[in-house]
Formats: sequence, C-alpha cells, structure tokens
Amino acid sequence: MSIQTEGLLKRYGQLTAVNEVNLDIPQGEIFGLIGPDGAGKSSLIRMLTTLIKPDGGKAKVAGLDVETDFILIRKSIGYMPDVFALYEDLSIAENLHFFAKVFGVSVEKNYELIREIYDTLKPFENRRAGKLSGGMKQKLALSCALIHQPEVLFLDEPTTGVDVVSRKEFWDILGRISQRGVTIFVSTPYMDEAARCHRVGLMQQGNIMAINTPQGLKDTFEGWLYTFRSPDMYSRLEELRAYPDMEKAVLFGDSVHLFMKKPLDPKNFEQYLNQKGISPQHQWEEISPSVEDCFIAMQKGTKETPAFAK
Amino acid sequence: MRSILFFVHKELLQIFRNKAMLPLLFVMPIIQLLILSHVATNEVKNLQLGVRDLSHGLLSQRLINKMTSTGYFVIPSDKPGSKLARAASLKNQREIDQALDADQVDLVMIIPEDFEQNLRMGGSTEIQLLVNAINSMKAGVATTYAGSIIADFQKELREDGIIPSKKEAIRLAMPQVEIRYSHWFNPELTYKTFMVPGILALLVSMLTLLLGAMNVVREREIGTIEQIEVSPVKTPVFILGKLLPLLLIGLAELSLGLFIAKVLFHTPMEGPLVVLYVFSALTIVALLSLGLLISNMSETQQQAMFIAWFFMIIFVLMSGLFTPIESMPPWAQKLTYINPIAQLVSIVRLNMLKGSSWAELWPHFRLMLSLDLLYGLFAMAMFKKRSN
Repeated sequence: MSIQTEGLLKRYGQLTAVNEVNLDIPQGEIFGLIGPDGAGKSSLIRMLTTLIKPDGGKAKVAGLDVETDFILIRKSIGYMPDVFALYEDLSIAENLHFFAKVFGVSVEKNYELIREIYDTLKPFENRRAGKLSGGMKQKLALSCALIHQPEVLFLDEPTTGVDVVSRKEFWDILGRISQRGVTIFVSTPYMDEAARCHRVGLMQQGNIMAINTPQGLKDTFEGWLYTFRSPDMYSRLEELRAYPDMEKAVLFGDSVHLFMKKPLDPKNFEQYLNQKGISPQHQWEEISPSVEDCFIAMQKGTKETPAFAK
Repeated sequence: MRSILFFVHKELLQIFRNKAMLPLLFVMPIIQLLILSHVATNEVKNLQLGVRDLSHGLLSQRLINKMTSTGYFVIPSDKPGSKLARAASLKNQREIDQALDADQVDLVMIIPEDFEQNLRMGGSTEIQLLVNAINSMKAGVATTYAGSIIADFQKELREDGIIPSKKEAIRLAMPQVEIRYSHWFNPELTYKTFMVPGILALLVSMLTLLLGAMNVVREREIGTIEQIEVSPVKTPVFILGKLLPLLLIGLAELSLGLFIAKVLFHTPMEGPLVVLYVFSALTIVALLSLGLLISNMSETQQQAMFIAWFFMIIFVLMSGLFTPIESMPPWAQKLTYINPIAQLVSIVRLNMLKGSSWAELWPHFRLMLSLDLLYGLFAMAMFKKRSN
C-alpha cells in the first residue's frame, strides 16, 4: 500500500476537520478526493505530506510513518499546494533548478521524469513564473513536484483556475505518470474530474462517506433521478421538495435534479405541478446519475446546494 | 552545506530582480544619511530674542549687539544691516506677554533703566531674562547661552576699564575658577562628526531588521514556504540561507555609508575597519534573527511590518543616538544590553571617533555574541515549532 491511514484525526478547537479517516491506496493508483470547500480535503493532504501533525490515528505514506519518519517521507513525496506556490520573480528554469537542488537532485539527470511536461515550457524557460498562464504555471508546479522522482504525488486542487483545455491535458499527463508506478492523491472540487480517477473518495464535513470506482459509485446509486427545468424553478424549489417520495430537489446549474425514492408517475406529477401553479413551460426527464449526483444523494439534509465548482 | 549556497543564490536573485528593492536598499539610506546628519543636532541656533531696553545707553546697546552677533540669538524683526534699529523692540510688559504667548520669542531680556549708571558706578545691576520653556531643552540651552554671553560681556567691560577697579579688587580678593573645556575625540564638538557614525549604524540596523521581518512571511504569503517545508531541507540550512544574503546586503550598505561619511563628512576613522565590520556583522545577525523571528510568527507582511516597527521605535529611541543612555532611568539603561542598535551605535562611535582597542571592545564583543545566540536560537526554535 502506498498510502494507508487508520482512524486519522485532525481537530481545530471544536471543529473536527478530518474524522477518523481510513484509506488504503495501492501503488500507481490515481485516487481522487472529492468534496466541497471546507470538507477537510486540504487538512487530510497536509497530514499526509507531514505539514501538520495528526491529532489521532495512524498514517503511512510510501511505507513510512508520518509522525516518526517525516524526514524520509519528504524525500519520497511530491506536493503541489492549492495555490501556485513557486517564486514568481524567478524564471521557469530557475524555479525548476532551485527545487531540484533543494531535493539534492540534478535537472539533467532526472529530466526524463518531466520531459513530457517540461518540453512544452522549454521555449519560455527564461520567462518569469509570475507571467505565465494558469495552465503553464500548473505544468511548472508539476515539474517542480516531480523532479526528485517521488513515489507519491499529492495534488491539492491542482486544476482550480485553469482553463478546460489545460485541465484535460493535465489529467492526460497524470494518467501517464501513474502508469510509471507513481501513486497520485488528488483532491478536487470538480466532479467531472472524478471520472479520470481510478477510485474516488467522497468527503464531507471531515468524513469519507464512500470510496469506490467512479462506475462503482454510479452503480450503487439508489432511487431514481430526473432533471427538471422551468422558467420559475428557482423560486419553486420548496413546492418541488414537498412532492411525495421526493428525497431531494437540488439546483444543478441550469436545472433542478430530483432525487426520488420511487419512479415519478407522470400523471400525478403533472397534476401536482398544475395544482401548485408552476409554469406550464416546464420539462423533465429521467437521467443516469453522475458522480456528483451520487455525492448529493449521500449527503444528509436536503436544503442546501453543495458548493461545487462547475 | 552546499544547499545553503542554493538558498543564498536564490535570495540574491530575487532581491536584485525586484525593481523597487535596489533604490530601497541603496538610494534611500544615502538620502537619509545626507539629510539626517545635517538636522540631527543638539545645537540650538537662531533663538528668537526679545529685548526691552529701558536704559537706552551705550552699554545696553553693546550688550544687545553682543547677544545677536554670536549667531545664537536673533531679534525677530531684525533685518541685516539694521541691527540697532529695532533692538528695543518690546515697549511694555503687555507686548512682552504677547510675544511670549504667541511663541514669537524664546527669550526676553529686560535691561533696567539704571543699568549703565549702576555699572559705571561700580554697583551691581540686574538683567531680567524671561524664558519661553515650552520646549525645555531649547529653554535650557537659551539660558545657558545668554548666561555665558552676559558673563563674557562683564569680563569685556572689566578689561576695557569701564567697570571701576573697586570691582577688580573684589575679583582679586576672591580668586575665580575659570573652567576651560577640552573635548577629546571630537575637539570642536562638531555634531556631524558625532552623528554621522551613529546615523549610519542606525540606518544599517533598521534596514536589516525590516528585511529580515519581511522575508519569511513573504514566502508564507505566496505559499512557497510549504514547498520548502515538505522538502528534506533542514531548518538551520533554511535560516542560514535567509540570513547570509541579507547580511551581505547589510555590509554592502555599511560600506557605502562609510564611503559617504569619509568623502562628504570627513568623519574620522580612527579604529581598524576590520573591527567595525566584525561588530556590524554581529549586530546585523542579531537583528536579522529577530526579524526572522517576527516574520515567522506573522501571518502577513503587514503584521510583520507593524511588529518590526514596534521594536524599531523602541530600539532606535533607546539607542543613545538622540538622548544619552546615561540620562535614562536605571531599568531603561539595563534594557540597552539587549538592544543591538544601542550596542552598534556605541561601538561605531568608539571605533570611528576614538579608535578603541580590542581589549576595550571585548565586553561589547561578548555581549553581541550572546545577543546573536539569544535571538538566533530563538528564531530557530520558533521556526521548528511551526514546521513540524
């Protein structure tokens, strides 16, 4: 196992940021940690990267204990924090060489590890890191995190603030890195990225609610799911939620997702909508659940829309 | 140890790449040195003198001339070339009160009607001095100056034979002690000689404390500190990597300041430069450690700035540069032991003006070393606490 935790716990005063988390992540896996802001994703990553000490439980990274062997762990992990944390006043090449030296390796020797990523940056090698686009910054940060040949790579929301094309390219790169046997632990608020992971863990309020493959998650979805659109849907959520057997009605971008315990009976439902005076220009249809739907279905309490990025 | 060099290289790259940094480092302190060394002086000149001359005699006029010719006193409405014209400018008590109330004069001299008569007769006379004591230091200086000018005036009259020999007899009968001063290490008591080394020490200290305080917290703000923390780099390497480049900058600043002091102010440099550099380096290390400590305990550069200023104001005002340490209360005098700036100011003066020997500076050396250890270890201990 590349990452292993048992009852891992982190508290900040009254708040339990990470609540007895158990993980078993094999080598070479891309593990996606998915959850809204404040779910405890960063705290979990910061414990695994030895930046903060756990308040309870055990954790091993690359076979080493995070509390006793933290110096050794630091040699075998790469970390990309959730903000761009390279020296903006240094050039691309200077940043890369500095981080290589910090880890006691040479860029020339380890170039193969980053060739694919860095070759696209090479023409701009002398440009200041602060002047790069989001996608380029991300590639540079990844190069710096990979240059010392880590066994485990931790990425905290790596694609925040990066355009769609760069995000796709980035995930393609991650896929190839994991094929080399590097374990990748990545947190993201983007549900669509979950599909690119081998397995995902759904995290909310410090708890990991489920760990499964993206397909496995969808297979375990219980109930029926519909999308609903109408011009007045934003103001009529309460009426929708009051419909019998309606588990949740959650705003989902430009539509409302209806989570049902039983299949919707078209006649009854239309009659109900009519009776409540909901706009006749509505439309609805059954859909198959996405990872985000699975996540919402698992959440307790129905009133709030989770703060997911789209 | 080689990894320290990578950090030094990186820091220097960053500092010299920052466009605002070079002027900040080298132009501003020079301007400060040029300006402050001219204005930071305890000498009081151009004291505003009000006169009410009731005697209207030759002797009273002579006294007034003597007062204004020294350059210490001027009569407010005095214009060059018309010294006598408005000497007796204040006509009555009301005008005197008004002038003092309005802060137009620092000193009012009232010469009595029978001034000349009494003097020539060999009798005694009184001159009344009213001092505006809003600024007690200025008032003190004004009184002293006036006192010595009047005493000098008296002596002149005696030498000219205006005061009769009867007075002379009394003087002979009561031998007077005349005090003559000889100011060592700064014979002409020129303030620039005295102030330039001190101001230089101050500027170098302030710069390094601020640079230290801004440094680590900046890496925390942009997040790079975490990248360093997850690397196998050891704390002492990181701290030394931060200290050394800033130390180099501090010493470069000192060199530039010394050059200006020599060329523009002809400040004496009696002691060996090596001693000066060793002590400056020790002081800078103590201040940088304190700065890094502040930096490490702050979340933002703004916080660090405020805390650094808190220490800076205390250190500077208690450095002995502007007010002598000897006149502070005993507890405050003890505080100067942990004040690196106070130590540097006194050492720079001892070295440059007096050329003190190693033996004389040894206690200072020991003290600075302990300050380095104190601040340095504290900075390192606090850093560890945060990273693990």
